[in-house]
Amino acid sequence: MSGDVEAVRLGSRARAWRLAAAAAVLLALAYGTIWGADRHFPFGPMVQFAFSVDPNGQIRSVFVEADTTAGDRVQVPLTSEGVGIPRAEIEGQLPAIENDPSLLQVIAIAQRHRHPEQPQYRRLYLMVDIIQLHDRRPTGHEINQLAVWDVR
Amino acid sequence: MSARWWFPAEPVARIAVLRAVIYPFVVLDMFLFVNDVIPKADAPGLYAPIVIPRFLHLPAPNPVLVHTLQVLLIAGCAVAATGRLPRLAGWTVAVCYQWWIFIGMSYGKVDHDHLALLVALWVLPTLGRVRWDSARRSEAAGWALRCIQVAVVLTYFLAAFAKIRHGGWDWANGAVFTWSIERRGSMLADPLVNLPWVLVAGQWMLLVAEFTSPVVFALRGRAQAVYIGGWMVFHVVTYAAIGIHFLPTVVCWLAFAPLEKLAGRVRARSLLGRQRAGWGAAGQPVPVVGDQSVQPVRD
Repeated sequence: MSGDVEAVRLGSRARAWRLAAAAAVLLALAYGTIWGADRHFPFGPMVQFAFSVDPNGQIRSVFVEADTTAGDRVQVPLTSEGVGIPRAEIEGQLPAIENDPSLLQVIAIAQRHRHPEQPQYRRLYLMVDIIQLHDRRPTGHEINQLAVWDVR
Repeated sequence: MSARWWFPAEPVARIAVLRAVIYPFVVLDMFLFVNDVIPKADAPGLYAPIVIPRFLHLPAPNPVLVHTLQVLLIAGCAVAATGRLPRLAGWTVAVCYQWWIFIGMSYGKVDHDHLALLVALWVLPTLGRVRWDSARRSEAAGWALRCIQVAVVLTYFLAAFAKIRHGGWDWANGAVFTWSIERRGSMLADPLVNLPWVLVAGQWMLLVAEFTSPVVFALRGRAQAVYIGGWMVFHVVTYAAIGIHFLPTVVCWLAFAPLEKLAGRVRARSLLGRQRAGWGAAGQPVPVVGDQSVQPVRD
């Protein structure tokens, strides 16, 4: 024990506000865990991988392809180094994009801004890859097109 | 949980070391992890503000705003990491980083690895200037460290509740690990989809580990270090398998570590160096003021 060094104590007011602050955050987290959603960040539920996947269900992965000014059809890199828009964000807003494919314009703008030297996107395809599980094992997959957008 | 539990008398030097680690990490985070705030400001179409920024009427991100935040964060972190202006620089970083994160999480996806880092940034400025070579202990330091520790543990503990709330008790018997490997696997993980029972066992282990994570507060010394090492291994394996690193939480586990020992070693070396240079001593071990045991003081 560091007997020769006295610990510095806190006064009662200093303790009170610290306890109150900790209690408030704990209550908000408890609320978020029980009733909250992601939009209550940082107090929402810690939902990393918090969904059950049916052992005989499907695994859906969204991806985006593009026709470029060079005439190729390429896969759009949905990463922070690529177009700066992660795949999960596209998936998080999937219904909105399917209703209004013009939201895909954002991807073309981001690519133009971040990689002006690359062939530009002319047309974007929102695609989904569906893997069928059987008894937890993947058995074949199919690819569907969800939306198309002609870049303006 | 008694009120006293929140105020252990801990070495203030640990706060000094933690500042030197956490603030540079924030800059790293801004460039490597939550690094899409700047490009997003150019394309506001997908901006869907979450509850708190909307309640606070924070303006939608624009290039001027996000570049200002970035400059303030880099400057604030550079100063705060050295321990200078801990309150001014610290509060600046806390506010700006919170705002940065709010923007980053307002595009349809929310990350759950930032809770402890945010708590750390809000509690570190509650202490004034502290030095690496201080042997002082204080309850203020203890409270700040306790808050970070609790936030780290809750990140896991509450995740277990979220899994049951959203996935039901079927979660651990489902195919969620298969799902994540299929979507973002690696050469290391891909063969595992053909061994589904290994993955189910892993799911049960993770759920049990998360539910029991508060046990870390009951452990001391080596047992606690081994336990925390177990979580480090978990994160390394997860990163190798599916590329998810959780570093903002991982770095906050340091709030449990006796970082003041590190400070003590640096201090001893500099004193030794001074002695060699100043008085030409034979380099014998030098007793260092305040470099005593680092066991926590029990109230």
